[in-house]
Amino acid sequence: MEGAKVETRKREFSGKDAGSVRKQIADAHTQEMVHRSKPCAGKVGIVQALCGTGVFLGLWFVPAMMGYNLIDQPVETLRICFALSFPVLLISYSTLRLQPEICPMWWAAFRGLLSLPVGIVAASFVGTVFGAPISYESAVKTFHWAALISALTVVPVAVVVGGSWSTWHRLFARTEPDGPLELALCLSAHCAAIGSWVGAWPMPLDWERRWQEWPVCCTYGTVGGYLLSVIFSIAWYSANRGASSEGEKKKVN
Amino acid sequence: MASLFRRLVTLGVVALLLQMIGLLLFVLGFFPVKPALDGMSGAESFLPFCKVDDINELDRPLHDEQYDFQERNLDLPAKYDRLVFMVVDGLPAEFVLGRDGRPPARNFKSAMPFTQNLLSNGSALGYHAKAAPPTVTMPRLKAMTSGAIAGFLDVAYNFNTQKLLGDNLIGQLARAGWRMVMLGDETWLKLFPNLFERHDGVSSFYVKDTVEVDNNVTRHLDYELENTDWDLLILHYLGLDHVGHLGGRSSPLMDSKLREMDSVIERIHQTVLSKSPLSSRTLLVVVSDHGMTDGGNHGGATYQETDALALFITNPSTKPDLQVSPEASGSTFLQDAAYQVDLVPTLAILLGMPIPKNSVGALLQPLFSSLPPELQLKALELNSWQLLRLLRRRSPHSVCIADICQNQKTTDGDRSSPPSKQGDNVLRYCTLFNLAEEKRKQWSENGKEASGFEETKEAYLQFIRPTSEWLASGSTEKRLTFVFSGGLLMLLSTVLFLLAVYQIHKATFEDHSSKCEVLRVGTSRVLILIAVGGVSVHAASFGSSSFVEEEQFTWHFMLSTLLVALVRASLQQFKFESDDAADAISDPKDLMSENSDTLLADCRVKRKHNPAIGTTADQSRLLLLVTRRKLITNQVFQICFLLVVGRILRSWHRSGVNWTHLPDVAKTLENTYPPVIAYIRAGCLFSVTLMCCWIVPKSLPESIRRITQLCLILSAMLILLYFTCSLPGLTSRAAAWELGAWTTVSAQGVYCLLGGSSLLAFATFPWILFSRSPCKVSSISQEEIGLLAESVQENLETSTLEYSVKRSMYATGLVFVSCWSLLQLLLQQSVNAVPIALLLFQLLMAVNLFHTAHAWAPRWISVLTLHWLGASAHFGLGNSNTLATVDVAGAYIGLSSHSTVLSGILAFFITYGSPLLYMQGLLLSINRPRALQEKKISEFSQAWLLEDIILPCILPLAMNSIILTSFTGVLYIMQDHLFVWSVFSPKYLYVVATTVCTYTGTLLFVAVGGYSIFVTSFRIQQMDGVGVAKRKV
Repeated sequence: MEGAKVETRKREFSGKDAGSVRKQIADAHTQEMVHRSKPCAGKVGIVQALCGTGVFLGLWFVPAMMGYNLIDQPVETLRICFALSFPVLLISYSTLRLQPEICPMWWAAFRGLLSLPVGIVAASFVGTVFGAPISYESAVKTFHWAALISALTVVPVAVVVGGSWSTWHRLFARTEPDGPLELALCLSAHCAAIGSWVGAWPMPLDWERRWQEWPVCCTYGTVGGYLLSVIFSIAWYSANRGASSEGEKKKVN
Repeated sequence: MASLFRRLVTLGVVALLLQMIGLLLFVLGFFPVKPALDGMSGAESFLPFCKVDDINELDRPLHDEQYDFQERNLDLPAKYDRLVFMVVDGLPAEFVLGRDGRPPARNFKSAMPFTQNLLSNGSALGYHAKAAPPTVTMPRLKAMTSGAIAGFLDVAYNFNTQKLLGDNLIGQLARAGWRMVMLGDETWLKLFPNLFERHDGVSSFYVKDTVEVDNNVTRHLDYELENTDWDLLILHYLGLDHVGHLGGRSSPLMDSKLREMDSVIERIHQTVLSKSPLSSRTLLVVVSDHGMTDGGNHGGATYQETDALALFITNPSTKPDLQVSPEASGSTFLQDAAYQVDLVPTLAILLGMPIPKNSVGALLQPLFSSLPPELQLKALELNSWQLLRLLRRRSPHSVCIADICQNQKTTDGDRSSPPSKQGDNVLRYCTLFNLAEEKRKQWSENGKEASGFEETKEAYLQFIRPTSEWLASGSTEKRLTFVFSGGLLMLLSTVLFLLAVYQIHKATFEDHSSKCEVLRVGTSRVLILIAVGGVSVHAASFGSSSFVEEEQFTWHFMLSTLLVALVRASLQQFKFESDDAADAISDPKDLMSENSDTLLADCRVKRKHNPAIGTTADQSRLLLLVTRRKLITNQVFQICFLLVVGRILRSWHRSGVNWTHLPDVAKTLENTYPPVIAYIRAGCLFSVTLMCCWIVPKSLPESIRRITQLCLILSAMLILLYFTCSLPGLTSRAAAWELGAWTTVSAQGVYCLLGGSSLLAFATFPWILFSRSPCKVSSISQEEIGLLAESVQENLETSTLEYSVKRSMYATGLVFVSCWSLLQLLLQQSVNAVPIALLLFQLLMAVNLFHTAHAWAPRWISVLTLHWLGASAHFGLGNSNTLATVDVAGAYIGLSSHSTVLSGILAFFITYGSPLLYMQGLLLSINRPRALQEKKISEFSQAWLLEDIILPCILPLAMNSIILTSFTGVLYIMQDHLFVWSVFSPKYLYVVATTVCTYTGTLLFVAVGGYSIFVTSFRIQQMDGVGVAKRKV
């Protein structure tokens, strides 16, 4: 399941620029720039912690304050969660954008915004193909779930990386992240997707609980996977802070 | 290499044999067929238990004598001479009697005022008569009349047999000369043909009709109720079940339907039970065959489905007959839980008949409470004897039962000493029986006091109740040695299969990794994780009954996961200019070898068309890059197509148990406008035929292509003829008979045409398609040929062998797949036409995908994907893990006379249409021979045998053996689970059938592959012989 959304999305893009070689060269150029300007691990950790808190608050606390919960009002809750976490993700990740000297912050946020509908379409497709019901009510739920999951997977990458398809390819098709930022992006996207996948397993059980319905348990899986990845990567940074900076120094030498 | 082949083949064959033996042992040990008694009970059933044995041993032809049990039975005369047996299909007892001491829902109560009144004034006695699963009408009627609950395998054995052959109440009544009338469900006529003087059978086919179906029964009531020429009147009302199927328990139609039933009961009561001269000797029994779930379905083992009703109503003047026990009279909502089979001994004794031989029911004692104590005890004794007879049949070597007999013969023997030290149930029942007999003896010796009577009665009931339950539960002793040795053998075979798969994987992996290591290793790791993880999760999920019931979700989810992973693997091959630049610098050749042969071919074609490009290395690399991208885009689209088709198939039928009542595509089509299905079906037939004609292999000579296409079109036309003839409501009834003959003939014609063309393709294609491989000898320099003449000769043979075998296997596979799809269109129910067409497209798409993708998809991936596609679509065709979904109707298409074997095979073909299609698809998924043309002669080796012949045989067997073995383990662990007979055992039958399906598919593959190899090598030898002869000349 991992990276599926992105890949389906990529398919659309690859169709567009299949022939244009010049763009490819530009991409290669961007990639080189990526290697040059890497944000430090500490900043990535802070951004991730911020996003994690945003998602956490958005799914549990704010809806609870407004009298909603995911099980009884999944659509409303997902909407609140999305409304809260999406701006946080957009703004905080755009501080981490590559090539800040060329690319202004509004542009980074804008391309994140652009990527959202594409992500929603792709995620809805994958969700439906995996078995999400097709009736109108369910389609609304699928749409909201797709919005949340693409905000957690596609949007940060679009904000940070932009149109560098080779980086997208490296992150999602090959899973070979380079550096703490890419690791964070790759890990959280994969964890959210895999979490959603795992979350679907209890659905056929005959426990007749309302949380087994689409998309409640998948949402729990998505957010759970995302939060786990955030916690894990922050822990990893704080543990490896000294080591990684030494490593980078060595590379420079 | 050769030794590896031999080892693998030996391994596979040994594992297969072990699995077969193990499976047989396990089934024999785990599912004991319930031993049943033959013949009908006669006068001997009124004799003491052991004396009957003597009679049997002496072989006195008691059955042939005058039927004289009425005289023998003078001490327990019949209480009723006339019976009205009213079946209300699907009525839950809860509607009439309430549940857990609570009265029924108010609307139900007010809908049946008369019945409720009867219950409250004590002239009716109601029971919750628990029905045994499967809660479907025919088995329930069998149980209600014979009193036997079939063993699990009996249900499977008797799937097609309709006539009730065992000893049963209706048969007994017929033998006693009762005249019978049946109105209602025609199932009765199938069960008891030629027994009824008058009958009007209604069909339960049109579930949407809730009114006419009951009016057709009620319209005869005026006549029949006035009439006195019958002794047994059976009324079977289907309407309530139809109401349930349409709207569930809370359907708005339910109240009026209950009111209608109540008025029928009232009418019978007012006429037959009150005014008729025979009224005091007439009994009205209102029963239901099963209950229904909230959604109105039935078939399973939940309380709601098994909660059937048994209501006994008698003449108001003989009211004290039905003394309601004092504590219950306050609230009329009796909590007396009984079993449906209890009806049989109760009715038998009430009507003065012998209890049918295999009845496991217990007497409903309250119905006898008006009889004098002696007769009550006599009735209990008869029931006990009969149960004891069954008990002896069940455990024939039990010492204690033999002892009971001896004790009876030698009256006062050493009764005190326990017979043996077996602490099993049978011993307990023996002791209880002895106790009851003793009590009875004491009672009669002590002058038949009232207190002693109650005690004796209790003693008998204490024997009868648990014995009956034990006999009904079917828990006969399992043969543990069989079970364990069978399980061990299956485990061993699984290990052997996995070993074989591992060896193949290692060998092919080594073979490939020498060519291109990096990409395939990376791809393989994720795919291996998904394959191994998927199979393990699937095997582990059987531990939960829900996952067994809803297996379609698991399959579909796993398949989608695999396909998405394939998208990822395909995208991994996507290359960017910058990557290529690096690659090109390091090793320009590397790029070429990684790419598939097809890609190169495409590239060459392009260069031919446009010679301007492709001169310099740079440009050719660019071209390659673009072609590769196009290829990958195509692959991704193809996989997305597979995903979408898989999703459509998933939603076509809502298989499973818990959500079957929800709408799905098939139900929507059937409910909205049925005629449209016929058009869709015809459209699917057209497109499938077109597709089949198009895919007839182009490598064949033109004439043979034409003949094959002609055969396919001809059979498609016959199928169309069949469709038109079998349209319901097309013509009048008179013409229907003629059309019936036509349908049979056209279906038989289709069988002949399709079977014939498949057989011919199988037999002739290896001969027709033999040819020298068109691979490039020229690429080897002349000196090399001179130097390596012998090895080149050898390679030439290998390449010819590979080329010809693959060509003929591919062509045969195409013909097989076409014929199979057309056959499925004929056999499957009409809503399944679209899924079949989709399946064919899906298969061809998948095959095409793997032909272009063998650069990154190892061979086992394609086999695995095809296997999973087939298994997932199995549920898309409406199958599930309950026996209820087996399409028995289709199994009679084209059969002019009843044949269990033929209809069994047809039912198997229908049920396993999709997995078998994909097993045939394995023939197509061998690497396409076209790709071989690009190979150099020096590259040929025997390795293709491993990948294209051995792997497609071993891998499906291995995957199936994992499922088989793990589910065998689950079944053994779950043997005391509540759902063992309703969920796990039916699934085990399916697992066994899937195993048979895998065997069939593998056999087909081996047959086609082996035959092609045999023919081709024979031709090569022949050719060599000619060559040698020429050289000599």
